[in-house]
Order: sequence, then structure tokens, then C-alpha cells
Amino acid sequence: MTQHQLPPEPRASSMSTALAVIGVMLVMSTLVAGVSVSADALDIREGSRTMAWLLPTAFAGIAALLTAVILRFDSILASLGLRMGAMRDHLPALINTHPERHLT
Amino acid sequence: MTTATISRGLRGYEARTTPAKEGLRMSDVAQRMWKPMTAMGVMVIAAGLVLGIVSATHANDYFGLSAGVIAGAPSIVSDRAFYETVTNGFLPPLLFFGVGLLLSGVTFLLVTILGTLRDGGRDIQRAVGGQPIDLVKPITAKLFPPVMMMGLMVLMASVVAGIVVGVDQSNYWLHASSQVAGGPQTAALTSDLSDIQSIRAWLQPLGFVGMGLILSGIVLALATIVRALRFQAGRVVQLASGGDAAA
Repeated sequence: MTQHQLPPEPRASSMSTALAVIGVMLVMSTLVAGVSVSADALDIREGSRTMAWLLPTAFAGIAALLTAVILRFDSILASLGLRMGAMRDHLPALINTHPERHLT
Repeated sequence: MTTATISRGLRGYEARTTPAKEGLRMSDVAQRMWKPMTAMGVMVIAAGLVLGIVSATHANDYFGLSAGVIAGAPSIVSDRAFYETVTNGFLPPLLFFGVGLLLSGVTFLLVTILGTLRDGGRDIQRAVGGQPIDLVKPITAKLFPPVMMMGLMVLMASVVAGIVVGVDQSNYWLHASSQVAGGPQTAALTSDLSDIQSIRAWLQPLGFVGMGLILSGIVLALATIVRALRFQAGRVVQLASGGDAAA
């Protein structure tokens, strides 16, 4: 099967990449915010205010990464179905065409 | 039930003939469940993010005031009570639960992949004229659903404990006496403070235990996928070379 005979890659793949980038950026930004708060650790107002949104933002980053993983697995599932279908449709013909060749 | 062994290298894989009729399969349930699980996880995390931002505004209002102003304006204590109830109360376990739902979505998707592998494998075996046989459920496949469920239940329990801490935080910080140096002035407030400190000591580790269990379930599901793929590779080679050991 040549490249142009393949169906287009699932849209979930590109969404997965975008979500993974967003997730990494969110997690990194929480690290930067944490380091900047630590530079002025005695400012209770700034510390409390930042800590209130820092943990949820870090979890949002992790959630974006996990959603990216889920979408990637969804793409794998779609590709697996394609592979299974291709094997089901073409494997008998291949075996009959080359009966002397064993798939080893 | 007929069993056969697919020989592949030194290790064999226990197999059985495909049953004519199957009851409710986990892969069918998982196929319907992975999207709602993922959506619920995303919604819980989004709600947690909004709560965190609201809590940050309350913290900004409260901690911008001097001790004298706080002592003279008892109504301001509600800002501190809200901040403590959310940020140091139920929000962290809620976020863990959201991530747990997302990880459960991953597990359900892996089960769907396993179902696709099994059904596709049967179709291929029928297409080449062989008798369809299935891999006998390995121990990893039997273990991962209860391990994942246990992880989710642990995370639910931690949310309940987080709500208890949140209520105690609210009771404690809504009293003006809790805001000033010297601490709580009644036995009930002292009891609240004691409960808050003791529960918070084990609440976060409990969240990690729940996540660890769900991740262990994912590892077991991936191990099952590896086993299913190897079994199918062996079966295709067996059929292509003219052998059908399903009898």
C-alpha cells in the first residue's frame, strides 16, 4: 500500500500534539511561578494568592497531557482497526499467491 | 472448553476456541465509557481551576489587610475561611480525583484496544480459513479492572475526607478568634484544628496511593496488550504455515 492509498491520519493526532504542548507549557509556567514566589517567601499575601491557583494550574497541565495521551491512544485504536481490516482482506490472497513462503 | 497451545519460541500461550455466544463483554462497556470518563475528568479539573482562581482572589483580599483591620472587622473572616476551606481543604483531593478519572479513561481505552485486537484477530483467522481461537485471559487481564476500580474508590474516599477537612476549616476560620495570634479559644475550635492537622497529614499520600493503583492498572493492561499481540503474531504464522492447532 503506497502513501496516497492510506486514509488521512486521524485528526485526534494533531489535537494530541497541540494539547501536549499546552500541557508542558502549563506545567513549566507553574514551576516558574513557584520559583518567583520563593524569591520573596516572606510576602504572605503574594504566597497565599499564588499557591491558591498554582496547584490547580499544575493539575490542569497534567490533565492536558493525559488528554493528549488519550487522543493518541484513540489514533492508535483507529490505526489498529485499519491494520486488522487490511490483514483480514488481503492476508488470504497473499498466502494463496505465495503458498511456498511462510510468514516467519 | 477446548484449549490449545500456540507454540512460539520457548513460551506457549494458552488458547481456547472462540465461544459461539458471549455475555456482556468488558470491552463493549469500556468502548462506551472512555469518552464520558475523560469528559468528567476534564470538567472536574476545570472546576478545580476556577475554584483555585476564586480562592486566590479571597486570599488577595484577606492577606492585604493588617492584623488591626482584621481584628476590627469580623466580616472579613469569611475570606480567610473560604481560602482555607478550598485551597487547604477539599481542592487538592478533588484535583487528584479529576486526574484519576482521566487515567480511568486511559484504562478503558486500553480495554477497547484489547477488544479490537481480539475481534480483529478472530476475523483474520476466519478469513484465512482457520478455526478462530482466543487467548485465555491472562492473570494481568483479570487483575487490572479491580485494581483500577480500587484506585478510583480510594480517590473518592479522599474527596470525602477532603470535604470533612473543608467543613472543619470553615468552622475554625469563621471564628474571629482563630484569625489572631493566640489561636483558638474554645475546646471545639481546638478539636477542629486537631482534626484538620491530623487528616491533612495522610490525605495527600492517600491521593497518591489512588493514582498509583490506577497507574498499576494501566501497566497491567499494557502487559495484556503485549501478550495479545504476541499471541496473534504466533497464530498468523501458524495458519500461514498450514497448521491449525485449535482442535
